[in-house]
Amino acid sequence: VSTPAGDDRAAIDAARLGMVYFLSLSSVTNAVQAWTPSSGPWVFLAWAVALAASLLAAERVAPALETIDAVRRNRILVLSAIAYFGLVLPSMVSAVTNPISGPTPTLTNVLAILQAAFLVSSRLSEGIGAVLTNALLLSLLACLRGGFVGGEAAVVAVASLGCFLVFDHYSRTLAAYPAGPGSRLGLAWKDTAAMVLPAVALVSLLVVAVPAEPPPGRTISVRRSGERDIDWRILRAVMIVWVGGTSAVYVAGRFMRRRRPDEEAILEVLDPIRGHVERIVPPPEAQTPVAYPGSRGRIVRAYARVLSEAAQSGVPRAPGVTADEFAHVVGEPRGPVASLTDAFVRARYGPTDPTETDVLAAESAAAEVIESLRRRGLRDRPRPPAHQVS
Amino acid sequence: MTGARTSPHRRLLVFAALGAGIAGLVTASTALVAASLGCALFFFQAWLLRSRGLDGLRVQRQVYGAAFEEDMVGVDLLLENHGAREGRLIVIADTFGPGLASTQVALEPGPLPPQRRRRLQYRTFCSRQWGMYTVGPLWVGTWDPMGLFHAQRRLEQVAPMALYPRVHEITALGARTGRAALSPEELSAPRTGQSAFYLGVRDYWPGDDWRSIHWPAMARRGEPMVREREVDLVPPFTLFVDLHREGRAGVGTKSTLEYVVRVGASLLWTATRRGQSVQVVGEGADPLLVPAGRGEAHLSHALFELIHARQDGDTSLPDLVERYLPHLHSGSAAALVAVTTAVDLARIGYLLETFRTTNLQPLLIFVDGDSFAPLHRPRVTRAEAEGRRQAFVQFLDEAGVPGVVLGIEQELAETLPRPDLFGVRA
Repeated sequence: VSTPAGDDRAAIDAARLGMVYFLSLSSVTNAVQAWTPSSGPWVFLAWAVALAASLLAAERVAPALETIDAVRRNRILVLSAIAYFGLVLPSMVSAVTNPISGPTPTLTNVLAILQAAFLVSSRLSEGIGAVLTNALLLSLLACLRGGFVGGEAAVVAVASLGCFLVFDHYSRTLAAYPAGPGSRLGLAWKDTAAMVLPAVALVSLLVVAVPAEPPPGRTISVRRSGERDIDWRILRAVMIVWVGGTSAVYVAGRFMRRRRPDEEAILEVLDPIRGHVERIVPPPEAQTPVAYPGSRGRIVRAYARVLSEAAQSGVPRAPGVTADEFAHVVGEPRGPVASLTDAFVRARYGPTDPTETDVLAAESAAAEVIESLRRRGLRDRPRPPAHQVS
Repeated sequence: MTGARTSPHRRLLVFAALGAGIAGLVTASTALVAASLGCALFFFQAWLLRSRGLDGLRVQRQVYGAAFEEDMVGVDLLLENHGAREGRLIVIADTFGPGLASTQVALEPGPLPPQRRRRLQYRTFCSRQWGMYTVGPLWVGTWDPMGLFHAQRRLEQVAPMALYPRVHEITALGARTGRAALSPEELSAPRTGQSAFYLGVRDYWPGDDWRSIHWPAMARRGEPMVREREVDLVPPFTLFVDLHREGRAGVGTKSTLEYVVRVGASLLWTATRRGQSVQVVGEGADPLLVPAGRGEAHLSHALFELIHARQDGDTSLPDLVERYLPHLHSGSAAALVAVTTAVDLARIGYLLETFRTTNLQPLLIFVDGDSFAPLHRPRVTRAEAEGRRQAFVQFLDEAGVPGVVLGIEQELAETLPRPDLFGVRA
């Protein structure tokens, strides 16, 4: 599967591949570290190489596996699942009930080898349920060991599982819905941190606060360093193998999923067109009324009070209606309405300021009109004239 | 906010959390219990974050309300984030009725900061048959970062969309109704005529059409006034559509209504593309009247009315033509689209004679209703149907009138563009 240039789906896919590897490698190394006393740094390195080779081999054998028809593929999957659970579940029950003298070391090695096999055949099915299940069982075995190794296995299992789930979600979503070019790797890392860190903190707190002693009577390598259950040499080697291996798988995944210049897209889909991110323009604020100073302002305010009262009475003044037309609409009382309208027009547009007498007359007329409008109420409100179109 | 889509790993995570918890309790393993609680915390966080920022998301759809069959349509979705959180991996699902793939999904991967918006556009085909459809409602949804839970909100934005029939250029129409001009030309002249352009108002003269009375001017002057229009230099094209209920025959894409609407749409399209003004007349239970006009907007209006036509009228086509004949412009062309060949040929002949005396150019397109499955009338024998058809063709030949008879066996996509569609009778 190749991805178009400029699309960071390839980076997300490669990161998901890296997380699958990290989950597999951490579960295998933790289980081996817990139950195989002779494990040294070279063993972990060998497992890292083997799992990486399995994962990258899966990318190569994927086209061949996809040619198997669905019926045969389902038959293989069902038989494999029956064989797997038939073999593993009794052994797991035995290991859980009796971890020391049971078949735990053998089971660990078998599951570790199966992990590599599941990685190779991971493209046989749409999901990677087998890889995840096996990795979780390996982590469960490692946790059963108890002590620092068990605690560390719990923390790393939760962290790797969380990282995988986030990147897997991004990868599946971007594959299902074409999103166009853009960088989402940073978003995925942010989400990973937001989801995984609290869980890791919780698990760490619990294993530190309530440490579990390893089962007695079992000598393993990590106990050789003395009183403490930590072998820093092993731990350092494991950390280096995890980080180095995951990084190498990520780089290899990017390389393998790059788009070749002469390669055409398999299927032309109508990707949605995406515009630029724009700021939402807030709705314009209500205009503040113009303040008219002096005697002109007093008349204009008196007229505005009449307009407000008329609007409440059901006779709003439309924007295109002149003062004279509105006076005709209001009608009664004709005298005060006419004198107020005349005073308003002269105050609003006239060349000279109105006198105090004019202002008092206008305010008196406005009071009369308002009183009339209130008495009239909504029932017998004046009707606006029919709209005329020429 | 409804529902949750299960992530493929959700069930596995549930089993892992439960299994680790039980095994931890059985073996008194703190690590397993802690791992179980860590998984449980994933679930809790995912459930809390499943609708992160969803309430602040608003979507507006912008789409032109009409299209032709098989057109590719672009639908703009304006995604706005009015919330306080950054939006990411936002899925918008829209229901596009005119397409067979009715649900269209677009992803805004984000980040979409607060108080920002982004325009997304999905493109889809109008793959259904002509008619009225709806676009919407919309769904906007988000996931938690792990994809364990999905939350979505339904936005009641439903808009109608008219889907017009696919049209075909009827090249034969040009030879009958004049040529399209490649150079700019005057469509009307400023002297009294019957165009759609307004010239002025004058006093009423006896004999003036009452429909041309200018009522506001009459109210001002206190005496009857009438509108005057400019004369048309390009006479309008009139489409008469037979919507008589007895013409119903056939079902689905092989029905007389289907043929009438498709032929009518193609005629209107061709005439409009040639710069002519077009008008449509039909009489169903509801009248189909589109006044003369030109341009894309008018064509869209005419097609909108045409796809709403139903064969439920009581007026026969000859009656309809006779009723509207006085209002046709001299020198203009009129297409008569009928749904049966069982017509009174003598009456048609009389109508054609009237057309000739008033300098009108007739165009007869008769859909042979007998060739379709009968619905409301007894089936006629094959010989009888063929006899009617031949008689009608012979009538056209003798009258020297351009026309065509379309049967169920003729595919409109192949027949209508033919240059010799109307024969060589004229």
